[in-house]
Amino acid sequence: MQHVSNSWEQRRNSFNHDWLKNQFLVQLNKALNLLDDRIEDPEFEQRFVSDLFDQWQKHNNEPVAMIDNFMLEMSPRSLFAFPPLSRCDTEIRQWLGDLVNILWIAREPVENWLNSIKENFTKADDAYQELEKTLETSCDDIHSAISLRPYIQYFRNWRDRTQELGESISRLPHTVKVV
Amino acid sequence: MKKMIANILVVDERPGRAEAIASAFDTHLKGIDVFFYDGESKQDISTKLPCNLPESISLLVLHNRNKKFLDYINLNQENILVPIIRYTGGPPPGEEEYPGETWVRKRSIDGAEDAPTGQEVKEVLDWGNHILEGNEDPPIPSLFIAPGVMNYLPALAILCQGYLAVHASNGGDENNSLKPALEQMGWFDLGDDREKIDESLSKNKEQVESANWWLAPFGLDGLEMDDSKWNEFEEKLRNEKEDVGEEGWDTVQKFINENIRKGDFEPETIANVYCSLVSMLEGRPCSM
Repeated sequence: MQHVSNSWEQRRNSFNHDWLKNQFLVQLNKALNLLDDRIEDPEFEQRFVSDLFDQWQKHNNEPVAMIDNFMLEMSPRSLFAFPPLSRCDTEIRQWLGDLVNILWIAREPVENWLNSIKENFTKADDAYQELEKTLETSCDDIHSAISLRPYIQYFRNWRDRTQELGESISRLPHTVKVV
Repeated sequence: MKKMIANILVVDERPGRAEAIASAFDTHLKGIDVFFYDGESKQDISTKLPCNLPESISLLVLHNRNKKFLDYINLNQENILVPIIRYTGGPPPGEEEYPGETWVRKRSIDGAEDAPTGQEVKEVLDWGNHILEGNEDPPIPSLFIAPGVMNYLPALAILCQGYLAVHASNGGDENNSLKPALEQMGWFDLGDDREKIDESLSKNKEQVESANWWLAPFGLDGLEMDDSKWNEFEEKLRNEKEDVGEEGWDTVQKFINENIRKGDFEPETIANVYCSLVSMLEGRPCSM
């Protein structure tokens, strides 16, 4: 079921499906294959660390914004901004909107969904920070698979935590759940 | 001999998703072998053990990123092309996109939670059997239909929630016939908020018992209006009904034509209507 505003769902798709799962994780998995010596790609080897770090820095504020906006845009209260419920009296819109919001939070595991994303995002970002710091202080050449290979467990940790973040975002409903 | 779907293969390299979809088919279909390939191994879902795939597949369910798999599989059964159902974890394609291909257009299949329901699986099997029989105009499963924008049925459900909450806060939550609806909408899970809510809601009884409660949001301006407005209102609800389950519609329709029109509202009726809307919108009965 769709309702008139699905902009949150579009932003979730853009972050989680288009970027995180089908771009970022694909590249991170390719990097792990390279470091595992399963593939060769000299051009990718030269740039993948900087590319992955740049991408993460560019996108890593989005999960927090998604969490904040989820409560606003995916609550059934959001339906009062559009017809037919926007035609209710102001007073009804206020109390009925508050009521359906509080019932939604009681009925659905909204807090669990969002806490799980927050926790997984923190873990993924910590894994990124740890990798970045380790490479900065210990790795001679971030453009060389041989130099990077000793740090493969940091890359794996970042991949695993990022996958968990993606899965926790996937668990959020795709539509405004009303009943 | 009549051709029927004998087996189903799900192909998807996203961890866990192929298995979840295969499991949905296996749970709801008896006598059909279901296999999945997750990029690592080919497995029989009933044993969860690696296996060889049968020589021919009757129905292929395919994540769009794994379409290269089509190069490696026999998709011809005695000169009949095996039906292929494609899906994506991103925005599902609209009705006009990918003509000639069969897509899950109802929703994105992003994770295990989005796997088809029992009803959806049965519709897909029925469709697949028609295709194998050579029927060029098979019944289209709801999973393949892009949903329209839905406003009226959710709004009606929210008005029911408001009505029932006000009655519950006036002692109606002791009424057993209201309990399934109240339970479903989360009333009994409110915890500490309940007392505050009871206080503020109890004064709205007159408001929710007036005909205007049900009429004003839908642009209906009183019980004496002409039939065309009623017909328009009912048609909008009927159009939205096409995108969701049929079960429960009779009760909702009766409520519109008889109760709303006559200004006849009883808490038990509204609870019944609410649970019918739950059946329509969520495809399951009220809890309890």
